[in-house]
Amino acid sequence: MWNYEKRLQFPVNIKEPNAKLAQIIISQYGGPDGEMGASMRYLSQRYAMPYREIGGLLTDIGTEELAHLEMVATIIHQLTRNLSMEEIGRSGFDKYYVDHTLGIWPQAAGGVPFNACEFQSKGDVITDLSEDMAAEQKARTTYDNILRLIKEPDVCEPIKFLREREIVHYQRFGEALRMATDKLNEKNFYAFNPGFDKCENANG
Amino acid sequence: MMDYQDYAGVGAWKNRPLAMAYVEIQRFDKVYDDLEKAYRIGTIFPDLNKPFNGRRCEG
Amino acid sequence: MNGKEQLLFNIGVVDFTMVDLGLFLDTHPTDQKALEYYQHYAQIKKQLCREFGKKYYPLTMAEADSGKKWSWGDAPLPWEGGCA
Repeated sequence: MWNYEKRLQFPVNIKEPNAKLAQIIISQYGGPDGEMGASMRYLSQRYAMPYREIGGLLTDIGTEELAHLEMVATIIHQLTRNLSMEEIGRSGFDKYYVDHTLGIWPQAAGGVPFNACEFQSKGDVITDLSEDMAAEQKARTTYDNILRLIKEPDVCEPIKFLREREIVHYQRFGEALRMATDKLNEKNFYAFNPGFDKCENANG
Repeated sequence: MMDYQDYAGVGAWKNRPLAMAYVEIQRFDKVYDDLEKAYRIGTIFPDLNKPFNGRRCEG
Repeated sequence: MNGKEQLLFNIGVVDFTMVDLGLFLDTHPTDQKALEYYQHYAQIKKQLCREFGKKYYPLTMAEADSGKKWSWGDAPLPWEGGCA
């Protein structure tokens, strides 16, 4: 179960509103490679894991991603909370504002709402860890793309932190994949699904 | 630059089965002495610090 | 940063160190060096949080019932930032 600490994992203190940036960064909230997808992916996949250490890792990284989700929402909130009506109109943020005012709602920068199609939970340890490694790279690339667009240090600092976490998570999922393959027969890692098949067909 | 033929089946790769991805396992080697610096970077392990420096460049 | 902000920042630094070590330990459960580091910082975090809770406000609901009132709502919400 979850407990809550009333602080952000990394500080976010943005002084200047910026509706254009907010519209971009929202992709890391509800977009295809964002933190909501990451946390839901890992927290969903963990149940079918045949190896306890990997279920544990998915729980821990999934939990950290929830803390990142909170940071991204905070960035968007601080970028938009003091916007004037004029800025809302001029920046194109009016399209979001009309449906949500300044509420935070999970969608991609292009407007696609967050949905479970953004991730898979396949119930196979090698497949799920491969998906997770890809997910961390996709998130990192999204942060790379965001960093090209920002000059403001207040916004850069938490974004750089979040980006580096994706690289660390990639390393951990890679190590988990090594743990999984170490437990399987190296002549054929794909002979059966250790999370589902109770026995192997002797004639296979 | 090595041709992939030069390192397939050599050293650490000698016995690795095909059709699988392998990430090098990290050893607990160096940790930043300055934890505040590590915090701002986003990891306590210098070996995992991979900053982004790309720019589109005009013209 | 004032005293409260500095203490909260230090808690952030120490807790983050534990998180990064914790993920390492998840994939290296027998690494003694990592375990020692983790235990060292866990002690420091406990002390810092106790100090923060005494001086300012509870960071977890479990700490919110000391004194005569329910102080859980006293804390600024984390997204308000230092310059609300």
